[in-house]
Amino acid sequence: MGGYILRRALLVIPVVWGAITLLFLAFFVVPGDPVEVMGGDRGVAPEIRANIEAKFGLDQPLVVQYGRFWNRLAHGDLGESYRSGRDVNDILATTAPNSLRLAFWAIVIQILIGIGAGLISAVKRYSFVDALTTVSTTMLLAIPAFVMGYILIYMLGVYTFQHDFPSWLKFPVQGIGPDRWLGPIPLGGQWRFLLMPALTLASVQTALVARMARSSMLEVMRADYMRTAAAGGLSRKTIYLKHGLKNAMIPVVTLLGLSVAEMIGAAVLTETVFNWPGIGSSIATAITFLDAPIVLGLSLVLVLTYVLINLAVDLSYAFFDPRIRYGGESA
Amino acid sequence: MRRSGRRWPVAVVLSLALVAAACGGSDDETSSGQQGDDGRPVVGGALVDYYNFAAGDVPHIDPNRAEDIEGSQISLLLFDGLADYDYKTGDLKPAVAESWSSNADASVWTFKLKNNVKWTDGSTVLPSDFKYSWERLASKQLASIAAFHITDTLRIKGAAAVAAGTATELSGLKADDANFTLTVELEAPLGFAPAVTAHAALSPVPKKVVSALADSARWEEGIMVSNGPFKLAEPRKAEQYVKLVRNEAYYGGIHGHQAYLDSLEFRMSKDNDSAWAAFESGQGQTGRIPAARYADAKARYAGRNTADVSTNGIYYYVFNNKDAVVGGPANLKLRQAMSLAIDRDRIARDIYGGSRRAATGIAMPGIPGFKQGLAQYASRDVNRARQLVTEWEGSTGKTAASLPAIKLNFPLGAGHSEIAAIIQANLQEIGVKSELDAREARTYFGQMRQGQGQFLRAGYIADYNVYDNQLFALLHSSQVGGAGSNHAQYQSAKFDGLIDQARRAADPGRANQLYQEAEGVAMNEDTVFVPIVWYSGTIAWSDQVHNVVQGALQYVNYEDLWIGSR
Repeated sequence: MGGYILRRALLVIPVVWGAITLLFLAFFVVPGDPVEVMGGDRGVAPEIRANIEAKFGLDQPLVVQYGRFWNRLAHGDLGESYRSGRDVNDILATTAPNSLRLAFWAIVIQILIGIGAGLISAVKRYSFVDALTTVSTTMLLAIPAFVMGYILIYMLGVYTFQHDFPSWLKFPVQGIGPDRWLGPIPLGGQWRFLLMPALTLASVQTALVARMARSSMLEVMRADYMRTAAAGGLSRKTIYLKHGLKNAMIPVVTLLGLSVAEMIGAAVLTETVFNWPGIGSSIATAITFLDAPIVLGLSLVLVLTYVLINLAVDLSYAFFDPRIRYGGESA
Repeated sequence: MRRSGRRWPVAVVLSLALVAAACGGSDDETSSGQQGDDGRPVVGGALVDYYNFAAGDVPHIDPNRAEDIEGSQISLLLFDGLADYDYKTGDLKPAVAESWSSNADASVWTFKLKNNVKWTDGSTVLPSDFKYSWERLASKQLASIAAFHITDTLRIKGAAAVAAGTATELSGLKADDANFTLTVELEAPLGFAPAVTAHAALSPVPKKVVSALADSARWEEGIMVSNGPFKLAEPRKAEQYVKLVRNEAYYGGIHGHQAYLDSLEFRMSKDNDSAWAAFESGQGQTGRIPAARYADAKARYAGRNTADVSTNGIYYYVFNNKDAVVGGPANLKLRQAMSLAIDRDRIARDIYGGSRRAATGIAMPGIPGFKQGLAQYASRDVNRARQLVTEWEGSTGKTAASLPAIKLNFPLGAGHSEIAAIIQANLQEIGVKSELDAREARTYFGQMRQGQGQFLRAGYIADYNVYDNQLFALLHSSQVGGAGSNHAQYQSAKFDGLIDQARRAADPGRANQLYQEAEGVAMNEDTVFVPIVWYSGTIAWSDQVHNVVQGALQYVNYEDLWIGSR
């Protein structure tokens, strides 16, 4: 197992290098230049352009800029935004916790509601609960997440305010609020700012998880060992939770693992709609302005996160299925 | 073991009740000041604004670095410059300056400063603070996009050397702290120089504070020492908010009083629709009306919006004067016909939902010197347009049918293709063929500066509320190519001469007469410029807010509005 982990860890290096190099090159290929973008519709006078290019090293050849980028990275410096001059390290320090918190609660919703609904639906197949789960997951899959976001905003923010609903039904529709947390736990009224973005972000994936959990559980329920356990006199609760659940979770865990990485980095639409200051929206804005240091710096962190989460997901299979071993060990 | 099934509904209900009790009021309830039903200003209260940053955060609020309206709005609230605009009347008034005067040809300006203006650290604002600020603005080290105010507009002597990094001081700028006098020597006469000093970029900065910083570019990441009606309550929270509080040491500015609001929080959104939803849900007291919601917003917030306020922005098309098909004196009547054919009212109504108005000239209403009806070919008249096409055919021997399709150039996005489609249909009515030529937005203006356009779209928002701004920037021959905005490649000795003469005129009335003549040349004698729509105000506010004024340059008078119950 240790050897397997080491080999997977070493693979991170070429993956990260390849992804970042491709992105770096992309900024030289896409049309437009960041100095021109800074000027907007107004042109940038040659002497001002020269000053900006000198400041950020944009007047250097590609190879020199590439080398300087990795040299800074080796010293833990992700660079400075072309547009604002802010340190990318500071931007990361601000946005990463916001994205992680939002992703955390979106995952919690997926686990509790998605897995819960899927399992209940499988156990009570063809019942009203099963039908309700099928219909609601279909709806959630059909409605794009950002549309869901706007629906929640208008229902729980605008409509409740304009029709004088009780204050506890009026939710803030924008921003991160007082920003009071204990790790991922919202303190005080912080949860009111978190609820709608988390529901929005989790909506489509929750439906997918519910569907996957249902079909996976149904398959497990047909297995011989489940009938053996029932014949042995075990209670239904023990059979489903102790024997069935763990085996049904392998494909669900894969799905959850992929969605974690996606939620941290690709929650652009949710972050935009709710103005949640996270990594995804920062990258999206930076791309618009050809602000390469932000895109490269934050993407580097996302690639690392994705690779590590994938490794964790792979290793978790051994927990769910003891027959799975790594590194040449036999079961 | 007994099942506890009957207890769980009670537990759920109790939990919900506890949650409801904990929720209490919204975190965003904003406080109002005292009752103000008699119309008198109310001192106090906190305003949460979702207007200024409705479309995203800005890179800078440092006055020497802010290059956009939103960032400059913050700078204008934190810093007072030599002059300031009264947004209600459009008049330029002395602010930190007590008065100013110039020599005969407006190439040397002398500003006499007030001696009672204080920084928030208690020290006095001195002429040397202005000198330091303007040199910092132009400096190679700061590399500010806004440096053009010094190097291109004012053209203070020595600016080129400072920008090139071969000098640290502007040789044409003299600060006499003992006599509170600032003398500005320009490379060329400029009659409206005081108007330029009203721009946020030319605000003073505290020399003692900023010069002591290891990296002055980081100054805006902390709490900037300032001299305006508001000061920073805390360091700006990028992508989230900027919070200001009243500056109790403020000298009063052009309004003669301190700000009424206790605090002013500008919240940022990444999306105008979301910002509008935040305003409509009561999370803030001001919002920016989305174009698609204009009619609804005007009705819902009747009397509490600036939708009918003209602001100094224009959406226009220009002919590439060097193009063989549409440019030059031979094709004048063709250009006049095309301009007459365009249905500007339909564009304003159908594309902008009434949020913009049909433009009939280069200068907008609200600019001193604006003259209604100056342009003869900027209002739709299809019959006259057809007649002009016939006359053009007669004089050139060409026919409209034989012309290759004229390219309508525009950048992708923001509704430009819909507008181009209307123009195309309008041109079809007079027998002129055209084709839509959409280009990548980021490279569009670079290509147009190189003369790649034929009949091309552009837009302009004025920096100063002066007649010169649009005319010089968009049509003077010195603005062709390079970093200029003369996409028409227009080079007219007559036009240039009138502009240069107007710039030398120390009397604003005489200057405006000359600018009107110049506009007449460009719009009527040469018809290179085709105005489409003028911008309008876009702010709406809740019934708690009073005395909101949006000026011609789109800034809002946050220092002069108050909160109270109606």
